[in-house]
Order: sequence, then C-alpha cells, then structure tokens
Amino acid sequence: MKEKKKEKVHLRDKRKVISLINVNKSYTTKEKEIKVLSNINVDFYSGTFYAIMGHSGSGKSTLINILGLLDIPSSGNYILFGNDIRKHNDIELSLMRMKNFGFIFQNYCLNNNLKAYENVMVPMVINKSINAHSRKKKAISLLEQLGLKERIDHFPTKLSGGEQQRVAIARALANNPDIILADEPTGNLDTETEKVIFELLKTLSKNGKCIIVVSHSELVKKYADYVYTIENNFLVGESCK
Amino acid sequence: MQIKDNFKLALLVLLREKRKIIYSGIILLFVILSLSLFVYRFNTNKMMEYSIKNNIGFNTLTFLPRSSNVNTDEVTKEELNEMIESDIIDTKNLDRVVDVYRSGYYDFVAISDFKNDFLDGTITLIRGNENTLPDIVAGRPFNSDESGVAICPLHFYPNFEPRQIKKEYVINGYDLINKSFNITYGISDENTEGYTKTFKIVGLYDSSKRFNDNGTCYISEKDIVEIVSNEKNATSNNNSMLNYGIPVLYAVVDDKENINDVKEQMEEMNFSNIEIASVIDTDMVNTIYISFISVFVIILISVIIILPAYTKWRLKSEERNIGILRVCGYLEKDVCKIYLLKILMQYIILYCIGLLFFICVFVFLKENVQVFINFDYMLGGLKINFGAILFSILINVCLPVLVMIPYLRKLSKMTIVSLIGEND
Ligand SMILES: Nc1ncnc2c1ncn2[C@@H]1O[C@H](COP(=O)(O)OP(=O)(O)OP(=O)(O)O)[C@@H](O)[C@H]1O
Ligand SMILES: [Mg+2]
Repeated sequence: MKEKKKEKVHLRDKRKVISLINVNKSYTTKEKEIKVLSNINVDFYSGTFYAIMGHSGSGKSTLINILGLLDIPSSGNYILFGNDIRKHNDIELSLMRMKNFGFIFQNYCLNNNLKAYENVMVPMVINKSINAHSRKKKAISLLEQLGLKERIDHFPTKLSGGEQQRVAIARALANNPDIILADEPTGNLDTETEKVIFELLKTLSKNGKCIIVVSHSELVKKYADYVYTIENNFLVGESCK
Repeated sequence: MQIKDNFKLALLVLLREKRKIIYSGIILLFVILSLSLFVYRFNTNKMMEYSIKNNIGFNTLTFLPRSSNVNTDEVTKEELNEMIESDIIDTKNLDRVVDVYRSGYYDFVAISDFKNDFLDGTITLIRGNENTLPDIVAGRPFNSDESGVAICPLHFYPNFEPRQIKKEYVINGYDLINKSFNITYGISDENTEGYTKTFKIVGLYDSSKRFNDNGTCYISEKDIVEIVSNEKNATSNNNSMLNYGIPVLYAVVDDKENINDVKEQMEEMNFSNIEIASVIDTDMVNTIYISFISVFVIILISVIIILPAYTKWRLKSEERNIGILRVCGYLEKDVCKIYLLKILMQYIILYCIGLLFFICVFVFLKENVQVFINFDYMLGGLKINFGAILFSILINVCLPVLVMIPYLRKLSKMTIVSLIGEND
C-alpha cells in the first residue's frame, strides 16, 4: 500500500472552525464496498480560502457534503466549533446547518418559482434571530452588495449563469454563517464570470469567513490560501502562500 | 418554523406552480362529478320517498272476494252482489283498514264548470273519507255520511308545464270555497246525456302534497257509488254480462307499515289473490343503485390512485427545491408541513371553485331546463343537500390529501444528497 503524506495545517491567529479526525467514508452498494475517503485529518480555520481539487470521482463532493452535514462519515470524528457532531440528532444538525453553513452548488440550485430576493429569504424564514419584517430588506441589501440591484425581482430563469450564482451566494450569506461551502461554483461559467465569483469568495474570506471551494479550475489556485487534493482516497495538502 | 411562515411558503409554492391548468381541471372534474353524484342520489331518494308517501297505491291491497270461486251460472246477480257487499263489510271492519271499494269505484274523470280560456273543465274526482282525506288547508273535511260535498285543490291549473303557468290561467280555490259547482260524467252525445250532480266545496287541500293529477277533488263514497253505478246502469242496459263479472276489490290501509299485517288477516279470512297495488319498481331502484355505486367506485379509485399518483409525479420535480430547503436547515416536518399545506390549500380552493360552479349550473338547470323544472316542482325544490357537500369534501379534499401524507413523509426523509441530485 502506498503511503501518502498527510499534513495538518495550523494557523495561530485564526479560529479553528472544523476538525476532521481520521474520517473515513465508504459507500456500500450490492455487497460491494466503495471506499471514497480514507483517514482524512484536516482542520479548517476562519478567514481562510480553501480549495479542494482532484479528478472526477475522487470524492470531492463526498467530502464537502460531509463538511456541510449533508452526509455523515462512516467512521472518524467531525468536530464543529469544538462539538463532536456524532452527539447530535438530525434536528440539531439541521439547526447547525442553518446557523453555520452557506452552500453554493454548480447548478446554482435556486428555486425557479421564487424571485431572486425570495430565494435569498428562504434560509432566513427558519432563523429566529431574523425578524420577519426585516427579511426582505436584508435579502435586497445582500443582492445589492453582490451587484444585483436591477435583478431583485427577477426569476432565476431570467438571469444569466453568473447572476444566478451570485443570487446563490447571497442566499448562502443570508444567515451570516461562518463557513461557505461551494461545490464547483464556477463549473458552468466562463472564465470572466469565474473570476468575478472567486473574487467575491476571496473578499468573503478576507472578511473572516471560512471558504471551502471544490473546483477543477486551475484559476482557483490564484485565490486559495490552501489547496488540497484528493488522491487515491487521501487528502493531500499544500500551502499556496 | 412559525405557522404563519408555513402558510406563506405553501401559498407561494402553490401560486408560482407552473402548468397547473390540466391538473386543476382534473381535480375540478372530480369535485363536480362527485357533487353531482351525491346530489343526484339525495334527490332520487327524496323522489322515491315522496312517491311512496304520496301514492296511495303503496297503502292499498287488491284482492278477490271470497265469492270469486262461485259458479256464476248458479247464483243470481243479486245474490252475488250481496256476497260481495258482505265481503266489503267484513274487510272494512278489520283493524287498520280505512276504506274498501270495488274496482271502478275509486275515481273518475268528469267535466266541471271550472272553465276559463285555458282550462277545459276536466277534473278528476276521487273517493275520500275521514281517514283517507288529505290535510285540509282551508274550510273543513267531510264525513262519509255526507253527500254533495267536495274537497278541492288550492288552485286549478291548466295542464301546462308548471313554469308556463301564468296567474290569469289559474282558478283560485279560495274564491270557490262554500260555492257550488256542477259535474257531468259519462258520454254525452245526441243519444245519451251524462249524469250531472252538484257539489258544494267545503274545504281545500294542497295538491302538491299528493300524487294526484291536476284538478283532483275528493267526494264521498256515497256520491262516487251513486254516479258510477248510474253510469254503469246507463251503459250496460243492453249488455248484462258486464255486471255479472266478479270485481276486484281494494282495501286501503292507514299506513304502509301495517299492510302486511292486514294482508295476513285477510288470508286467514280466505280472501285470495291479495297483492299490494303499487310496489316499488325494484329493477329501477337497482339500476339507480348500481349506477350510483359504480360511478362512486370510479371516483373513489381515481381519488385514491390517480390524483395522488399525479400529485407525486408533480412533486418529483419539486425534489430539488425540497432538497434546498433541507440544505438551508429546514426540518423534515417543516418540509412536510409546507407541501401538505400547499396541497391542502390547492384542493380546498379547487373544491370551492367546483362547488360554486356546480351551484350555478344547478340553479340554471332548475330554472331553465324542463326536466329539472318538473322535478323541482314535484319535489317542492330540488336541493343540494348538506350531506352531498360533506361527502364530496371528504372524497375530494380529505381523502387525496390523507393519501399523500405517507409519500410526503418519505420524500422529506430522503437524504439531502439524493434530493439535490447530481450536479447537472
Ligand atoms: N450514494 C452513493 N452510492 C455509491 N457510490 C457513490 C455514492 N455517491 C458517490 N459515490 C461514489 O463515490 C465516488 C466519489 O464521488 P463524488 O461525487 O464525491 O466525486 P467528485 O470528486 O465530486 O466527482 P466530480 O468531480 O465528478 O463531481 C464516486 O466513485 C462515486 O461513484
Ligand atoms: Mg462532485
């Protein structure tokens, strides 16, 4: 068996948000076990831009789904802000997702029947700390910050890919989470738009958010503070700075 | 998640839903179909009850006199008559029996002087006594000893369709009370003059409460016998055979509940061929019942299978949106509630539209289409009953929504990753 170099990154001035300790993930299908992630040990810090790369089928989405509490590891520990998530039930995990995570997907995953600002309001509805009357105002202000002032009332189907992705970013920011997870956010976009999106995410990381981006694009390396690659089920890290 | 937000989101999902015309049309169709079915059922039931209640045939036994096996060659006409009369008296003395008469002595049609430009004076006269007269609305009833008295309907209508009747066509019974009128019975041509008699109207009844022809008046047994036998004598002078036949007898029982008791008693008294004069047409009742049941089953199956299958198919395209909600931190029960509320609101709104449409069509038919006008008139109002509304709500709102609950639960329990699906 090939030994892979495992690196643990520590940054003293930033807050540790996520620790994965010996995390494994395998899928069982019809008596066959597919091992996707092996012995992942990694910490993520606030105010940092992470890129996760790797060839197709290497397990990038699997990892980011685990990070976002959309999936659970087969074994190992996931520590979120010092809490082991294994101690929490589904309802608590949903609450943690609402408070701590913003998600961005390759295909935007907007609700096409809702207007741009309504899409942004969706996560706020279940957030008790956001007053019902201020939801719309907050959604509009987020869209304005992302340069969508003229697109507030539009339905997603009437927006370009880049605009849709910016609406999705606004939605990810709706509850002001500490961590933004993006699974190939620029996969459907041209290089110019890709730059705009990465630029936005970079700004967010500078403002203290932990940004974790899965991408195939070499361009991401220009923005990322750390680049991890999944190779043969293992996570290999390198610092870009 | 707050109820208010649940409602808002559900409403938003409902309002923004695309391609809902056909789907809504199908639901509407089922609403209207089941409303029609239940209203039809209610009114045919009412119709049947009405006819049983108001048709005296259901209270009447037909039978043959005990003398029916007598050889008519061996007895004289008078002897036979006496035997029949004694049979009539015997049956009249039975408990519960309110009237007994020979065939031909129940009613007859005569020409009266209730005539105007629209009424030709034809009226029907029926025998009545204290026990068989309808409720008197004005004036008084008569008793069997009286002669030359009549109970008439509140109005004499021409034989037009009810809605075509105008005020000027109608003779008002109130104007006639305590007045006298003449009737002529029998063929009156150059050779024979009809039999004429004068009656005084002593009371009025509501003809819509009886299964009678237009312009039917009640007169006493004495008068019926007098007029009919006179006519029989007049026409059968040359043909004595007619009088020699053995007549069928009729016994009227106070209530159809008691009719079988009376029948048994009469069987013990050796009367033969005892039958109830009017029986419910079981074939017709069965046809109505079977058609009701089959349409009902079709609707039920559709509601349980087709509608939810279609709803599920439509919900499939919502999977990603449901996934997004779950990603954002919505709980399984939040998602369930939102979509359940959406479906519930959709079915309730469509039900209300269907009901409104049905009421409009119903009222239109009742006012404008002859068959419905006639039924409306006869039943004293075709009605949309509360039960029909209740049942159709059960079938068209509660049932399909209930059937959806397990599926919605399953959907909300799906893993978020599979709800969101592969990135396309
Ligand atoms: N639910 C599942 N059941 C079985 N196998 C799965 C399941 N989900 C993913 N896999 C397998 O796990 C491996 C990793 O999948 P994953 O989606 O994480 O790859 P990826 O790196 O995101 O690929 P891509 O770049 O194409 O998006 C693949 O081989 C995939 O077939
Ligand atoms: Mg992937």
